[in-house]
Amino acid sequence: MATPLHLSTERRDDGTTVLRAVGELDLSNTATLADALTAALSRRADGTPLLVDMARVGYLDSGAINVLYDHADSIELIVNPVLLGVLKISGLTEVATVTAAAPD
Amino acid sequence: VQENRATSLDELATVVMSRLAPQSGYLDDVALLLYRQPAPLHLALGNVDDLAASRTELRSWLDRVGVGPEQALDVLIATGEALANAIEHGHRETPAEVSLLAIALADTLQLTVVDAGSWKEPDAEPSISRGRGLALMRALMHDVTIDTRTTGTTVHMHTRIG
Repeated sequence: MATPLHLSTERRDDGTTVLRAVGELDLSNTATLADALTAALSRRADGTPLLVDMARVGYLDSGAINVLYDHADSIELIVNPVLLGVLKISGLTEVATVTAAAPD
Repeated sequence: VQENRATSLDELATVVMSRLAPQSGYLDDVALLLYRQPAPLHLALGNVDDLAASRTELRSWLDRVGVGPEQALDVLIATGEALANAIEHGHRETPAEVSLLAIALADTLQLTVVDAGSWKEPDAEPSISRGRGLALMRALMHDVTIDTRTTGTTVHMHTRIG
């Protein structure tokens, strides 16, 4: 059973580029996440942050956190509230803008 | 109780009650409360595509043990780190042989991840990434020990429950 993950990128009317991840992030798809992030970053308008919507990601490991760390300066994260604790422990919340999504 | 590990709880209650009964019978109402933790969970993983299934199994086992969703996620992430490390570095060429053993005691969870290879020496890969995974495991669990031998690596993790 491969890890479920769906990634999509869209440009909103206000010009913001959004990378949306739905599923789980682990060692099996770390590279996929990194590629999608790089691609989405190249698509955004100059100077605007990339919004990474992980409101529907229920699990992530340090591999995924590392990928997010690599782009901490240029992304804004929306995360599932259950993952806020682990993102704080990892220090990501100190280097990137991380907001908890409203619970379902 | 020890002789009746394979006995169902209902039957065990009957056995205990009848053996404890004084010859003249019980003098008053007696209530006996028995509780048994789920049997240990044992999983074998071969590659990264097994990680998701292992989480499903572990999540459902943790639920049966009575671990709440918040702590369950901590355990899942810490265990996932150990499993991913074991798969990534246990065996590079051949499919990895990684095992997870989870045991629930009255107030403690014990998780053991064993692989047949050795983790990369810390010096061989001074990457922040490895440090971050280990730091996460240590922060999420009460105690983490890593035993590296030529035959393989064993990670023991404990956390308090209940």
